[in-house]
Amino acid sequence: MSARIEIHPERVREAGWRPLLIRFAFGASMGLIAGAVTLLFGAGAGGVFLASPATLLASLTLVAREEGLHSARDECRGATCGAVGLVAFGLLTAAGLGPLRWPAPLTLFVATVCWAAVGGLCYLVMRALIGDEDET
Amino acid sequence: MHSTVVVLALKTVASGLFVAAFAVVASMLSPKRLAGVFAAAPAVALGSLIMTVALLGNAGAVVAARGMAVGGAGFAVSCAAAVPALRRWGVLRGTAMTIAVWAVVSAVLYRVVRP
Repeated sequence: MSARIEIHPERVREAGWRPLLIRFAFGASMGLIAGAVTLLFGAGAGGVFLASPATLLASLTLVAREEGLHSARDECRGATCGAVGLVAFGLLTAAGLGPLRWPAPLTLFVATVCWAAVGGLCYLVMRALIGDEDET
Repeated sequence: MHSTVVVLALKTVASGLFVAAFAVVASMLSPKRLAGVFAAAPAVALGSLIMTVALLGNAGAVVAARGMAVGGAGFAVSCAAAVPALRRWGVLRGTAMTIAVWAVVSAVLYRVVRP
């Protein structure tokens, strides 16, 4: 069974500042770790940490506590699609900034759109194949 | 040394801001599976790469982006493994296993691809 896709802006206000601060802290930590790895082992190794699941896992623990394990598993399934998009983002960014010699803002914008398109397409395929709700 | 610390600090703050921004978008979306797509957004990458390109130039960003593709592949495999892991072992051990899978897959791919 597939649930309707909806947008609820009021949830941002209802959630409050604490979840956002926690996610900011995790994101900042991963940025720091990736930067430190780059300094120690080079840009390639540091780049691997730019696609670390740490921020997702922080989110999963919050979601599992507030909404239950089935919601956390659902978020994981969606994150699989987003992660496939990350591969496309990385490859397009490398090509755009490298051999294609696109301007950096254009490259990052197109790469982000590509991430959204690939991740979204993967999500729609998953939705068509196995539906949208976790079995509880 | 001073400029290295400044670059690192800017990357850190930028990454945190982008993660928070994508988290805002994710929190507004239903169903949860669609919100999960945004949980794997290139947030840390955008914050870090923007600072790298702006302060250090494109060369490092190209190599970092290739490394990111490797990490992204590991991320996808680890997310797929996380669903049964969460069901079987719960949140804490399931997420620990997820990180381990990401680390192993990314390390193997990194050795093979050598970005």
